Amino acid sequence: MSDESSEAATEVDAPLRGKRIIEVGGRMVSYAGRLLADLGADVIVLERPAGEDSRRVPPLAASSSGGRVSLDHEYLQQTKRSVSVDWTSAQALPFLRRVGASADAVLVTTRPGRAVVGLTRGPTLDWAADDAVVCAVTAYGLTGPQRCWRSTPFTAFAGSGLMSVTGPVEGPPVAMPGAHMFDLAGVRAAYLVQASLLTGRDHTGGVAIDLSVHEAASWQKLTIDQFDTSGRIPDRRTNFGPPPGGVWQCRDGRVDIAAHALHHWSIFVDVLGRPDELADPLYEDRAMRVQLFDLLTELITPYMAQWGAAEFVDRAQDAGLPCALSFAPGEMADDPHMADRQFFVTVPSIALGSVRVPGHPFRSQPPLQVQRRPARPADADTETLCKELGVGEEELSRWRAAGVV
Amino acid sequence: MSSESGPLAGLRVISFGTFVVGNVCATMLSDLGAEVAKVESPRRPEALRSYFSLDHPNIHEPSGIRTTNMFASLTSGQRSVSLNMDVESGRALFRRLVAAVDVVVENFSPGQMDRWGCGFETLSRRRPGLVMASLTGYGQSGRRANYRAYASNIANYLGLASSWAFDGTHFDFVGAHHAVSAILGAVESVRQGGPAVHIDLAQAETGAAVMAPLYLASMNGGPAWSQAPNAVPGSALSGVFCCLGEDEWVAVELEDAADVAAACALLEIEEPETGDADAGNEIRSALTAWCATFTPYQAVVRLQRAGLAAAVVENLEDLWRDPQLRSRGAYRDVFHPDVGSRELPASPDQVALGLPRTTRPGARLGADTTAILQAWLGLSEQDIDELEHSDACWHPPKEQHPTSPNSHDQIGIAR
Repeated sequence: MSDESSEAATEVDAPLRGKRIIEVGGRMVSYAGRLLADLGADVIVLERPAGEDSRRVPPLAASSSGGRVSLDHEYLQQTKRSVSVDWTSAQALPFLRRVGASADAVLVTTRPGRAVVGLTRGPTLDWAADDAVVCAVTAYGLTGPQRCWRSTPFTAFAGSGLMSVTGPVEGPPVAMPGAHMFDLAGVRAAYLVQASLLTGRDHTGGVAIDLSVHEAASWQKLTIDQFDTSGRIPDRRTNFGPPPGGVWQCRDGRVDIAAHALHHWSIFVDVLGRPDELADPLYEDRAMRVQLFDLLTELITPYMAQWGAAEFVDRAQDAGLPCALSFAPGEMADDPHMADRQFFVTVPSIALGSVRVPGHPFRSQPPLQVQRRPARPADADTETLCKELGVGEEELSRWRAAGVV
Repeated sequence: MSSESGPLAGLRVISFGTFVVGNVCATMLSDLGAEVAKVESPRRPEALRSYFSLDHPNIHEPSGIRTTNMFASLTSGQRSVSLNMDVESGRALFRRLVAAVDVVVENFSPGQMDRWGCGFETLSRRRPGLVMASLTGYGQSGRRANYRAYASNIANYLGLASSWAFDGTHFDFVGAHHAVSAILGAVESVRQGGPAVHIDLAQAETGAAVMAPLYLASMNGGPAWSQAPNAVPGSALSGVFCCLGEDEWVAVELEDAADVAAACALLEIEEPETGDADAGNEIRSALTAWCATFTPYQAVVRLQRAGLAAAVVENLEDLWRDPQLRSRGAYRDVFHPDVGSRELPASPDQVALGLPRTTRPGARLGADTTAILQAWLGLSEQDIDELEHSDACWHPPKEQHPTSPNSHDQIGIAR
């Protein structure tokens, strides 16, 4: 595939062109909106009049006007439009109905104390169009005994099954930093909306989607581990693969080796020059290496310490051993491979002048994703949207006076 | 579940997906109603069939082919067609099949499909409007394009491992999720009259896309990531607290001042003054003592009733007993003739859409070869026998197992 694939689709060619998608409720649906906006949808973010909390989520950068701008918000909200409305207030329903009537889909999340008006357990949204796709993404789903429970990316990870096996043996378990479980659910929400909007389907009315972050987060561990047949509960003592799998300290950095296939041990020993103390055929047996974890770690460590990290990775990859440099967060942005792929992009920013962010998460030939546009200030598109919807200035002024828009 | 349920009913997919990213992507498409044929052969069986793990003892199918619990789980819903890609007759048969499908999924190293004469250019000439998804660790271009990669390699390359845990993995699933969105974007484009689409998805890039909060600062002139374990930037308090029992924990996050006030009320301590530097420590100490008097669920129910974000740090048994997952039908019973009765997690997508849960585990190798060649290409049994004699395809001896589980489901009814 040529490098042309990194080019953006024109607005005319993007697959979701002409589709309007409302995003409302907060961070849990932001990544879904990010993906759909990349594919050309007109994503309209409804923000409460004071601006959403996401505008204050770290990391923060200083703007030219002296304020603090959330880089996470800048990244997630690029290419979307911002409309101001108090979506928690019943008084906003007339306005929401006007907006909802024009939308093909609504991405909605809700939490106790900050409920989106008009959302029911269906899920239905009484201000969305009858034939719209309503995709609710919530902490635990809209049904069940924990339907009213809250989560954050941090607590959502606790329920994934991945956290209990990670960290020091004596505890505490350690959460994956970032918003991974929200975003993993966000990708699901995006493709569920895409699947529901596919042309050629028999549209017989609206589509109701009740997606649980907890289910999306725990599915990964549950599909891999097999408690139902083994009865085994993995813990923080047993989560390591046997050598040569794992992270090793080299002369000038670390490398990670993933030796899952049976022949990987032999390749590894060859790369090290087949030293006598590792040539025992007993070590070719993976189960034996599990038992001899400590001994093999002790034997291998001095050999790995002699290598330069990049040199080892190049040599081992040539020999067919899956391995990689082990970077700190952000260091991969300077890796020449990422430069070759031109993955990171600089996007104009109204608040910051420009901001460097991850580019499209996949590429294609022909391109399907549009060039990113700057994230919009809160309320920046309210009047434009009202004009598009035929809402008169007088009507808008009335809603503004009531404090709901 | 029959192959016609779900929003992707009528979509045909042929998959070389292996291990996690390719299989999970194909299974997710199947969960949404696509009809997925997984290509293997006795000479090149799926790696998951021989993956060693204490939880995945090797089991043999009647034909002698090995299988595992993990294969049954990660290829759930897919059918098995056995083509011999090592010979030209097998590759020619694959190209004929591609003319009858909408999507090809593969996660080989770059260039493998071309070496078989089955690259995107060739296939899209045979099937105008084809969507082909090539899923790799590092992408189809760039100096690391040919690197072999498993999930832990990508987690280390991106810096997730060093900021979390060196044994942590994740990004193969992240790649598979994004692949479904990419494929559906391409399918939509084709349905609107666009040309065939080749998707180049790199796990390193989909991973980097969701890792952004950890490096956006350093990339934009700010400091490098340096958070202590379980610290959430911007939150008033986050932590993991030990409860009654052995290795029992709860995770709690107080996002803002309102949460702090609610926590103080629950813990019956004074709300700290604004700007009190020790406020976090006082609440943390009180939470530590309070949590130690409860089991995880006793603590979490009380915290949630107070309106706070808290969760049990669930181990695998906790997840299996999880009352919320149980109440929503997030598990399903399946039967595999060699592995036995299994209870697998249901697709979160099927739960979300209220669809019937897939009851078909991963298939025996080649179990659906004949049915798929008949349904997709209209071949007769005699045609298929001839192809088998030419070594193009294979199906297990009929007397050993005539059908795969649930193979009474109709194949290829809707296009």
